[in-house]
Amino acid sequence: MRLLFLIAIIVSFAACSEKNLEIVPRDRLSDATVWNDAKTANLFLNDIYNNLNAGPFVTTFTNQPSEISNDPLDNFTDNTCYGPVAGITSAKLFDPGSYGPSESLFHPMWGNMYDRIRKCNLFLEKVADAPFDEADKKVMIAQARFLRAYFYKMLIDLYGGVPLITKVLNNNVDGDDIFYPRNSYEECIAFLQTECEAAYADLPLKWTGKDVGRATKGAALALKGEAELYAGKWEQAAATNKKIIDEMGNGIVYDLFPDYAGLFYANNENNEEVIFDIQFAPNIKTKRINQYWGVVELPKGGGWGAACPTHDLVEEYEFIDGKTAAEGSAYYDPAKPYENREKRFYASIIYDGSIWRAAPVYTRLGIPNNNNEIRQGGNGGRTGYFIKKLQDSTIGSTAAQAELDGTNVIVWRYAEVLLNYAEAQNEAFGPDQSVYDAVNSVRARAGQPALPTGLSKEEMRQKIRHERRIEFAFEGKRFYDIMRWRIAEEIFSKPIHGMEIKEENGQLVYNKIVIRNVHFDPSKHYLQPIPQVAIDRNSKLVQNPNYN
Amino acid sequence: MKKFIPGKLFACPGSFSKALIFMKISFVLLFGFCLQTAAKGYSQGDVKITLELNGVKLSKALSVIEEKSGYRILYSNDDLPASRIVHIQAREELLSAVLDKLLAHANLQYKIFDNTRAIVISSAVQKPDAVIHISGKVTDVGGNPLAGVTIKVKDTQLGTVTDAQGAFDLRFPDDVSSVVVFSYVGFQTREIKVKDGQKLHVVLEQAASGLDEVIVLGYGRQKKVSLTAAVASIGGNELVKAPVANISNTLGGRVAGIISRQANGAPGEDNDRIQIRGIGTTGNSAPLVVVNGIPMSYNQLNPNEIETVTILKDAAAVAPYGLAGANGVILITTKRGKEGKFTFNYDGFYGFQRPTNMPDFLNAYEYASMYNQAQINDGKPPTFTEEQLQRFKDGTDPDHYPNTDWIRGILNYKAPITRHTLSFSGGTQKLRFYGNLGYLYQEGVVSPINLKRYNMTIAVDAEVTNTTTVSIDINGSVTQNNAPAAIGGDDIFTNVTEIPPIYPLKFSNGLPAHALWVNIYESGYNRNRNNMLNSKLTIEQKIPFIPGLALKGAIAYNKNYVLGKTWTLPVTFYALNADDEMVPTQSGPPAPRLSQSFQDNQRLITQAYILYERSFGKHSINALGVMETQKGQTQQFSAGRINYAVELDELNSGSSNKEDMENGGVSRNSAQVGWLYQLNYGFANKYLVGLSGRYDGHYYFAPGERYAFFPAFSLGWNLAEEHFIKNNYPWIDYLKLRGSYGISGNLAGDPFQYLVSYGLGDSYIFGGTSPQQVQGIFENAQANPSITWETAKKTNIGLEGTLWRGKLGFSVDVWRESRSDMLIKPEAVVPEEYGIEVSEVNAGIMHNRGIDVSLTTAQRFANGIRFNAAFNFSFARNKVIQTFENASTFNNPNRRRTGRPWNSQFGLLALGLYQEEDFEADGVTLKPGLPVPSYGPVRPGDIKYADLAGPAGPDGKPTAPDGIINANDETFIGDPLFPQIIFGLNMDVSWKGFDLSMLWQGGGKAAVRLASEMAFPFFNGAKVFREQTDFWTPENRNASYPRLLPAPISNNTQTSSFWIKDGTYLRLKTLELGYTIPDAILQQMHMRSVRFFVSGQNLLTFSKLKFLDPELGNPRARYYFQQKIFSFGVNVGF
Repeated sequence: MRLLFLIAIIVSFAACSEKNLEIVPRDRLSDATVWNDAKTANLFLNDIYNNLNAGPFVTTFTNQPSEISNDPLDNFTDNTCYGPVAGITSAKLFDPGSYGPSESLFHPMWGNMYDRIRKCNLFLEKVADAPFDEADKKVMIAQARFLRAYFYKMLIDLYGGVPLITKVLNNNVDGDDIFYPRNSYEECIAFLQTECEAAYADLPLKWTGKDVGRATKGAALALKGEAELYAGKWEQAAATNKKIIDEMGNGIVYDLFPDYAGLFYANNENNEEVIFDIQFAPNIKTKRINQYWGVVELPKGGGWGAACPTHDLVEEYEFIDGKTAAEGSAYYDPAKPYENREKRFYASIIYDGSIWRAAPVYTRLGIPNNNNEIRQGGNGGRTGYFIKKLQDSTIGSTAAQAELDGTNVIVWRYAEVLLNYAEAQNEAFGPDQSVYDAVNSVRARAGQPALPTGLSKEEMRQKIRHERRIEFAFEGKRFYDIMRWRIAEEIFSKPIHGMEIKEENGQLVYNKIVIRNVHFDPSKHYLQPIPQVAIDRNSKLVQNPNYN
Repeated sequence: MKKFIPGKLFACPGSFSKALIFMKISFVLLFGFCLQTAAKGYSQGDVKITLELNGVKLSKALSVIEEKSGYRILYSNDDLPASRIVHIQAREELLSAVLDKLLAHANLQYKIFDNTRAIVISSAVQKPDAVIHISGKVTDVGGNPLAGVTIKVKDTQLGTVTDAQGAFDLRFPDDVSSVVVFSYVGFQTREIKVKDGQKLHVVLEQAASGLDEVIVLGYGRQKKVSLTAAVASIGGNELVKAPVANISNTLGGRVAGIISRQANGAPGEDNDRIQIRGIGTTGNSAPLVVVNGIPMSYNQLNPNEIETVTILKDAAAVAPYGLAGANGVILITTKRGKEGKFTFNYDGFYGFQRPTNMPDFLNAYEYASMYNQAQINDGKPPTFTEEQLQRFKDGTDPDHYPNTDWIRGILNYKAPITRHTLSFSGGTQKLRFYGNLGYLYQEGVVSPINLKRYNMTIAVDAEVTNTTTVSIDINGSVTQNNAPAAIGGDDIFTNVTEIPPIYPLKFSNGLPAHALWVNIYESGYNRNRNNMLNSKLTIEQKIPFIPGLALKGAIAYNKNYVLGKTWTLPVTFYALNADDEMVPTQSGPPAPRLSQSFQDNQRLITQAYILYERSFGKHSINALGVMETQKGQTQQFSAGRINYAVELDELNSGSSNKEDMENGGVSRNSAQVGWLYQLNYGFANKYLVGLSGRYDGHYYFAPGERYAFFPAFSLGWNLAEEHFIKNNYPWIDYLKLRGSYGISGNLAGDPFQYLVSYGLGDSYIFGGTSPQQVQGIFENAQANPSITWETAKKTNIGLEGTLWRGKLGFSVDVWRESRSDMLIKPEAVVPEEYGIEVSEVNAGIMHNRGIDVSLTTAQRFANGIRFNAAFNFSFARNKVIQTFENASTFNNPNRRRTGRPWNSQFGLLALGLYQEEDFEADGVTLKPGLPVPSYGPVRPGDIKYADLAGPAGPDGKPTAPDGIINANDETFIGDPLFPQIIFGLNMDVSWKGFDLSMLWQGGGKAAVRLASEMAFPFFNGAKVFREQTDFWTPENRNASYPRLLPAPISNNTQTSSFWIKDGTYLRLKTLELGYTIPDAILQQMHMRSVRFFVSGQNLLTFSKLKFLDPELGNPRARYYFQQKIFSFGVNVGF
């Protein structure tokens, strides 16, 4: 009897065991928890911001093109040369021109950007129906629309027209409707314009306190203005950038920061010139550019010299009389080529004998125990120059020290609005006074004399292009510029140079050497190949011309 | 001796109620309450007993005393007036007093053997005539004396036991029998016909190899001879031969069915990846590990405490594990106390470790010269001048022109490893115990990397009533892993195999010249301490009124907590500046920092068993049913501070600035329930049927998807029992044909994939110059409400037998498995633009098939040499039958993954190297007709690939070769990395106290791919090894490396067959040579046994990969190399 009783207990115990398996996970949230409250919905928006990154690639990890990796976008231009690190994209794929759909320059980016776009779409859908305050919603929605436009622009700048997906895809409900063909480039630009206008309408002019870093009216217009400029919609681009200047410029919200050299550093973060920047903070969200780009302090580690300015870029810096050596500057002395350069040169370039972290850096041959000697392979800089701009000299270049690098990365600043305006206005209407004013204000901040008057439209175009190259060096802009200006084929038809310096008979001898040749095929390389994985999975996608 | 008399319990109310109390307790335990049991403690000394017997036969009285005291009583019926009626009363009286009372009148004398808990009664009156008197000694085959061996005259109660030296002396009347039976637990019983006055040396053989061997199965145990499932087992004594820290390193090659690969040699991380019958799934393919019936990890165990390792291979064997069984099960039982003399053993070894293989790197002069040549080949000026080369060569200026041997400069080629174990065992029939204390120290290639482990095990089995057995197991370990804060073992190997010899490690004045040195020795520490405490209480209650029926309850509470502490210090090393001054360079964080973590895992497992085992004539039944629940909980938290002003590695000593502090934490719960059964029926030991299965439920899945049933059945036929075999083939001792089929499951994926959910975590930063991190919420992967486990259908046919009186044993199993419902992401069904990971679905199918063979032989030669050998061979080959695959690979037969082994290697097919005649006279233009690689320009000496196909045509199929080498030309280039064949040959020879054992082990059907540093000299500034000097030149056309360049060109770095190497290998995995000191010497020393030995692991390796270990952990060899170990040690029994 007792046994039967006990067996009965076992059976009853077994019967209630379904409840044993009822475990509510404590490390995740349900749909209702997230979307019923503006506070939690805002956390979702935070995550979208967190998916912003500096440059097209979405990681700081090594060997992938990104504004903060060891293969920044300027390595894909004549501004810098990749370092001695094997396997990096610029050296491996870009220079031989061997990239294609299977192995592209920005391979995971296509999928990554659509991941972010989905986040925006989901946010917009969920918040539209959410039961909280409409005024809150409006600003939140405007931010999400701005961010979505930002991610789309990343794609459009590289690939041309892409599928415009503005809803959350669901394969269980939508069936084959989840496969979208590419929209035309025109449609994409029009979409960006509409989205940015809408965002502009609802975004605040400025955020304060703990909200600094969120999208503003200025950011929405800067995005729109740049998109229009890249698309060659000159009149619209001029108007949009003009609107920023008129409504927010000249000190209303934005102005040129007086010190070009100090503009990019942590203590001046979110200064009046910054329109939108990606936020970093020491020890929390950090970059490693000091390690990647830094001077080569040690045979291994402690600076990789992974993006070294080319001599071609150095030649582009004017002397204090506003002319380059090629333009016959009176200050050019072949024996002392780095003297009497404009301020931006000294703010941007570490050259032979210049002071960096309180000690001279030598790239010339023959200095004992020198890891920075120009090298044709192995470790050491390849060009005879290192990047100074954007690198924080107060922080070392080892991996651990790099954790202290929390300086924000600027996406748009007021100088760009001015030069965007100048370029668009010149293209649309020729070099009127407003064009001169815009360019000259940027030059004036750099201490350079005003442009000579009476320039033709073409001459002004070249001046603006020159100004952009110098002003935005290493900021990731030149790659898009040489693509949209369609000058890559011309630039890369010539070798890229470095500077070898030797001491002979007590004199430094400067010898321009070829360091790099790039194979650029204008029939296809102005647009990036859509990754084969995307083509394989969506038969409606049409590849860009001449890939395959 | 113990006779169970049905009905006796009813006659004896006291013991019945005791039985019931324990039954109650067992059931209470099943429900998770832990009660203090009221078990009576037995003292080692004289036992006190209480009894009251009136008018019973003397024999009856003795049997009652036997039962109450726990002592066996041996006597001769001749001596004993058995029918004599006695009366006796005793209340808490000493056993000796009771015996005095009882035997005094009968003219009997007795002797109590406390060690072996036996009482020998003999007649006080010597009967001088008609007596056989024998004496002698009992030992095991190794000559170790066996104490407590029961010696009985056949068919009588007359007998004795051996003393501590194994000696005995027995007199008995000559009219009873002249056959004496020697029996001892764990040994084969021997019967010997004796003569008066004979001196005997009786050797007892261990029973393990016999057919009486009992195999530990899923939830029960079964005699090998009646087994219908495919299992293999290894004795713990085999495992301890290998001087290694981790049990998993000892399994490969020991038995058929285990396929293993050791891909790392770091202390604490050097475990082999073990696969039972290969890899059967694209998901989690790790086998389930069960220790003493409880699923848990075995990496922390001391190999010395292992009794057996059983490998469950087919469906019949794994079905009781339900959704955890499909990848096979490794069952481990640890040692338990044995009835008999108390024994005390010490086992220890001390050894040295060094890498199994290491490339021979060029010295500084050779390196620099070769670099110059690479530069010249690349059209660039040489980097080093003749003068510099000379300096590297003559070593006159080591600070500027060093010739650093980074390998020997950093790595210790005599890293110590040592293990010490003390074990205690013994007990009476009523109470047996086992205890084990272990200590392990394994140092890494640098001393700050080391592993310390302390083990403690206690196992007690008590027969608290006639029908109740209580077992308590406590097993604990503390494992501490130490490493430098700034660098781990893998990185140290990466550094020393990469940094060229032209850089200094230390300057001539002793200052460190490279971060590596200070990172190892001065950067602080990274410690992990894993404390495990596993406890288990088992109560088994025989049901008195149903013979063969028992109930059993087990409750196990396993807890481990892991403490992590990392203290990172800034380090300083020196570099020469332009003025030749040594300037300090700081590396690591700007100020000390500390992070600590704590993780607490606990699991509660309850098992309620019902067991039935009985024979009715020719029918035998062995059945069990179990209900099992598992609950687990994990909690963790972590905290840290940075910017320490003082070097005091406590959290409280860190910066008080809140921004310098961080913390985190999470917790998780898990649960599983299962009902399982095993039923074995045998008819005349000839025809065997087995049924087993489990109904299992798991919290991973949605309600409604949680439960599944995994049944299996098996059949066996003992052919040797058939007359047509018995009569015609007497040399067949044993021959069994068996087969099984069944379904088992495999848990894959992650918990809660059925739920639509969002994750929450640290996110973006707002606030500009005063940054503040905010939280962020993100969508988790799409949910799949119908997600469930993988299903495996397994078929196995086996033939096993022993021939010629055990001289040859064999076992052959042919098996196949179809795994379905594997979780795969149907990526191909949504576009890349979908934006989120699509949910996994149960749609993958994989087939896996193979064969397990084992052969054993045991030989004994007249000159005393004993020789045992066992060969085993396992082959397992899987094939992906259904997965989601891109059209571009699926439609191209060369590239199709479906239909090939999982993780087959794909790449371009290399045809060798381009030669000068492949180019036009300009030396740069490929001749017309040769396919053009799309990876940039090529030159003579670059890798030449086969043009296999063009892009996909309109039908999706690849078009004809298009003259371009690109991804379309990808094809199958090599087997998976994980071997598909493993074989082992295990040999033991012993002679006169010497014993030698060897395990040769090999693997095959595996391919190793080399990349980066292992393929290209100077890759990313890396150094060069000797083989790489065989590069292409116009004169060296058939070189094994492409033309020499300072950095490889894109064409040559493509994944291709050029870099695939055959991973077949053979190695002398374990070797042990021992010598046991003869008994004569031992007796003077009062020792039971002493054995010295030398042993080694991974001593010899033969493979085509001459310069690396064939079990290469990484294509770039950026990992902690496997170690070979030389050791010496001693086993002492007191």
